[in-house]
Amino acid sequence: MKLFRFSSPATFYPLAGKLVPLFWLVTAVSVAIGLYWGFFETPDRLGGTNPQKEYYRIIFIHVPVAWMSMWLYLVLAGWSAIGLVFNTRLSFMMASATAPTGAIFTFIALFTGSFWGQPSWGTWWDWDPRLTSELILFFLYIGYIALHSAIDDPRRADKASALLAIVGLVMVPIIFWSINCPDPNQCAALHQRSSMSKMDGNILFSMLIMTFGLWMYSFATILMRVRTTILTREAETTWVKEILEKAE
Amino acid sequence: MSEFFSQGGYAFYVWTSYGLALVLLVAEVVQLRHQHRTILARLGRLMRMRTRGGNQ
Repeated sequence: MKLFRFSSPATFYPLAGKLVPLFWLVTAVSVAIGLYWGFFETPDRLGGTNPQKEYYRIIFIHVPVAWMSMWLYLVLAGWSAIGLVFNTRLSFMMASATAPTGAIFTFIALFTGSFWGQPSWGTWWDWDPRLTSELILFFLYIGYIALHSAIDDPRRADKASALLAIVGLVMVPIIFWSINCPDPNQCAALHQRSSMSKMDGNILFSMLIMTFGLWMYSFATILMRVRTTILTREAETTWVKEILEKAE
Repeated sequence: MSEFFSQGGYAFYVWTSYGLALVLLVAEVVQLRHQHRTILARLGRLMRMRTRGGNQ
């Protein structure tokens, strides 16, 4: 299998280095298009009978980072599972490189949500099911990072935090379906069922292209982070020593 | 243009959201670049120390 060749850190390090600038380029172009479209080609109101005013434009950052926060958690758990099953070093390194970017996205989702909630719902925070579960996702990311850095032996740190990541996976479907509250008296959901099919095409387009841009951003930052991890962990190998000699 | 900046009177909410996102994402990239350079320099120094028999 040719694919397995890239699972060797020695092959992956230079490959990732070549890919990073490419991902930056795609990120810059798509975020520029997404923001331009979101601010200049969209209506000033969102929704029908009681429309949201201009503050709804927070949607172009809020929804993409919220989606990416859940997606990156799936990626984190995925790499952790692959690492535990096949015992591949690079998979664990990818997992631990994914967590900080995911945590930052989760924080931005919570923060921008708060700044959207104040003008639209009249409150910065509420223990609505989706807000609460997204907050727990943030704590899971922080817990993963904390556990990973608390254990000195990297192999043990990888395995212990991988297990935590997999257990925490249960939160992602909870966030996803948290708006479908069966009984409004039990759990009043401030987030309403998204009506993407009825949404203005320009708004949807900006949201999707921003999501794509932030996805490319995650590729760039995760690859940058994993390159640093590879250098640290493989410091005693000859190929890293060759790189260090060239760098002088 | 001022219409763009005022966002119908919701400038505070809209621009704080985008501003914080921008600051955090840029900070992440700056930190990553800095960290990569630091690691390269540290490992390089370590390697030179060893090849010269730890005289430094």
